[in-house]
Amino acid sequence: MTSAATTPAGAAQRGRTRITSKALNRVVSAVTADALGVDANRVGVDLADRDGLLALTVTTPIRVVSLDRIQSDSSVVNRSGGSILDRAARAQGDIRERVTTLTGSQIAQVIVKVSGVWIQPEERVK
Amino acid sequence: MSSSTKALYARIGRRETHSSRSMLAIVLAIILIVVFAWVGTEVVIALLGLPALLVAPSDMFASAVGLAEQPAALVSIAGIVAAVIGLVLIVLSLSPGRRARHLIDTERAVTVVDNEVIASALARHASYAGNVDPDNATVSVSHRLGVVDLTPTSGIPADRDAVTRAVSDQLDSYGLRPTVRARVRIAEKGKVGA
Repeated sequence: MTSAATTPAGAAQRGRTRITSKALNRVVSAVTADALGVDANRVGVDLADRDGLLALTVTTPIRVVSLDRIQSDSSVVNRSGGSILDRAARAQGDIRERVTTLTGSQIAQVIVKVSGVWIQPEERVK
Repeated sequence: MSSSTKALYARIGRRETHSSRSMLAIVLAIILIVVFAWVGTEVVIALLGLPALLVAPSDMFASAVGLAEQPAALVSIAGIVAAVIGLVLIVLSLSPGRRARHLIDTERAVTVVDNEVIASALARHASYAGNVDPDNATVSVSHRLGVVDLTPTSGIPADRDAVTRAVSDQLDSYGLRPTVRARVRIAEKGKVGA
């Protein structure tokens, strides 16, 4: 914003946009849920400040295929996106990018804590 | 504007921006008047040979002369208190006694503005320029310096140069006398979701 913000035609006349921490929480949990294939209300989000940038800590379950299924067909791991660690690492990048895009906040770090698994049989495409 | 009006305005401006210290002078004068009236009364009463009101003049002189025989601690404490009061009075009499106000250059009148008013105006502009919530902008204006403190929102860095420019522009446009310089400080730590 420039110094002319408060002149009659300046940005100040439009008002102010503020993204509350509650809204940020919702956005982060939705993005995380999307990235890991789980329900958004089972994702815990903790927002902190790190030298003026946003630091996210998400505590989330992760969706995996059942062990029975892997035993009968080991390629199902690759098909579901790789190992849990790989998917969590990829989710970190996804969360950072999409939260920045959606909220415009710069993010210092994303910590993904996998707190559980959600076993889900692969479904036939309907 | 004629020179006499100018002189008058300068005088009014000076009176509005400086404390006259009349309160202090009046209080001190009353204390001194009471003390000297009492001493005079004591002298007259002693001359008439009546019993003293509080202390007879001869006892006053005796105790003043015999000060060195009193306990040293008591005398030194009383001396220090008297010295401090004296020092405070000297400082007050020599200091300019400025009020927290500035003058604004105007053609037709003397305009006086409180520093708080300048500060709140600057805070509004600084919060827009720095893109922070007004609650997270604090400004204090003193005689020559306006200090702007901003706490940015986490993830949305505040542009220090833009804020400095906006605040300086504002200060220039107000035409304050004496001029006020801006100093912008942006907190290292942000505030989440503010």
